[in-house]
Amino acid sequence: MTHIAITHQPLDAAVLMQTLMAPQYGGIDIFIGTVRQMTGEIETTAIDYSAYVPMAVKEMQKLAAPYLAQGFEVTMVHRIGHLELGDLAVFIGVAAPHRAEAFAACRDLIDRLKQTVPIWKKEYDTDKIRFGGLED
Amino acid sequence: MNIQLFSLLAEALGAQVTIAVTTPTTADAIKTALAAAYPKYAALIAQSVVAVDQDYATADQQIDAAAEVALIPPVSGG
Repeated sequence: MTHIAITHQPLDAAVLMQTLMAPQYGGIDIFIGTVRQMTGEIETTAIDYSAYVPMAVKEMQKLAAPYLAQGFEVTMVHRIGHLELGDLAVFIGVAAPHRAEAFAACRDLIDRLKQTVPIWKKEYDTDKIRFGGLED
Repeated sequence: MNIQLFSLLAEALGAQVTIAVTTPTTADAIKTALAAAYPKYAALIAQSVVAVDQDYATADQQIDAAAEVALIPPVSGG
């Protein structure tokens, strides 16, 4: 059972981790992205995330496919809606037989999610609102 | 043709806009028509990528009238 989703609900890392547990996997690598307060001099107070939901799910499925084909388990869930500081925005988990392949796959999945999956942030900073990915 | 918009463009122009293009058309032609209709956002439209039926389209891909078309500005998830 692969868990790939966009959700409005708060992410529960303990629950999501359970989707990765199975006897054939000896290495589970998890990346969690949260809402950060400081980016250099810029102070963020909250982020609204939005997505082109069906395409985002499809793109995440494409990213996961080669790892699923190798027999790994992949869980990718991104939250959308209004998030406060410290809230979990994204959970990426890979379960593989050994740690090296789990680390590599997890890093690849978050790096590529940030490049291709149609999700956007609207960042509320103390000086102004910024739309992620765009020049100020 | 109806075009779905997201992020800053959706807030500024609405979640969907309609542009006049003869079909079949191409992703480049859609971006050109959008930039002409909304010159204030031409730079952002130029940076964006057209998606057809929830897949990224190539610049010269043929797009027919029945397709689900969206303009994907630079993404910022994660």
